[in-house]
Amino acid sequence: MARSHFWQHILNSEGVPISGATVTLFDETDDSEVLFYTRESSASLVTYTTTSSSGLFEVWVPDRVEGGYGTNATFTLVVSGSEMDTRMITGVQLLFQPPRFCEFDMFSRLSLLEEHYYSINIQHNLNTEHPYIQAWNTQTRQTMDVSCSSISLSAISVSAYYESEYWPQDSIPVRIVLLGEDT
Amino acid sequence: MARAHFWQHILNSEGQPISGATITLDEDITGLPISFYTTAAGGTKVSYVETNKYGFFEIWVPDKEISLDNGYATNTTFTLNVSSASLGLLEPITGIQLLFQPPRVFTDIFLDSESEIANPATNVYSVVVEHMLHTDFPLVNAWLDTQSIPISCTSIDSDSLSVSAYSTIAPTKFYVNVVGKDL
Repeated sequence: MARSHFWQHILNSEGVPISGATVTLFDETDDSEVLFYTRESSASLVTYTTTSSSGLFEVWVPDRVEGGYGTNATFTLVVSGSEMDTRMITGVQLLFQPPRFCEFDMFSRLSLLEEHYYSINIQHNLNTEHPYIQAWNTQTRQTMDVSCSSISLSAISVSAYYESEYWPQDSIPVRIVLLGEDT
Repeated sequence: MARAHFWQHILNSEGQPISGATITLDEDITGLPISFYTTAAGGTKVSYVETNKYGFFEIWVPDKEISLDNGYATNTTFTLNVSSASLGLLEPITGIQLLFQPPRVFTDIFLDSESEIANPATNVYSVVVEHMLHTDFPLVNAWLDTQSIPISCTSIDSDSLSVSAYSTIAPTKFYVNVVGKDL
């Protein structure tokens, strides 16, 4: 579950904050009114919020996991009030907990297993126990098979078979790429 | 290593810029103040920054990549604190989300009916994907019709790769997902 936070200060044409203005959001795929939260942890969905004395409003829009919206949804923001003309901003993009892409080269701190087998512990810090992993031979530019063991939410062990004329090598041309939540 | 850029203009209740206001950031979960940079690259970390005569400030928050930078995860949220001698402590803003270089997913579909799937050897099917992700060694997975399948990839350059799969049944559709940095 994740909510995307969006906030702004609403000012009049002289730069003075407008308090009490009504703020609503619409889903641009179907122009439907968006239900959102006014706090990160609140349980009640609302259809609008109002600006504070400093003109500040903030909304927390639920992601698809929470019955809300997709990463690439866009929204229209509408702000209205008795002391202002209604304003509309289209194409508002929000940020729903993106994953993170990491790369690690097996060029140092290698452990040696049996002949032509190498192992390395990678500290990826993705806070993801079982991340998405792929290995590439950077010389041939081809994908290769590796064996992985999860050590913790932040680390994995990777073992690779790499055959070369001399064994062992100080480094091998293997790149490990990972994708995780990074929460 | 990547840094997330965050910038704002700070104004008083009459819309005039507040110069010399002190800006700090706290990590939401721990409540601890964080250190950040004032430039996109290089420099040393600081614990606060001040607004200029336009009320403008900008900070660069380090990410949590394997670097020894002790930075923050993609989905960390922060509280922005603003204080000035004339106005005291202004309304803090919680739940600020920063953007630490999110990856991008590229998806493509290749149709046998359009002769987009090559058949270089018996039971081997391959496609060339122009993913344009600027990533030499991305994450790749593929599906033949409704089945996920082991694949072998060759990186052609940072924007394209070839994907081969073994199947005893000729596919009508070859789906490929590529995840990369998209820098």
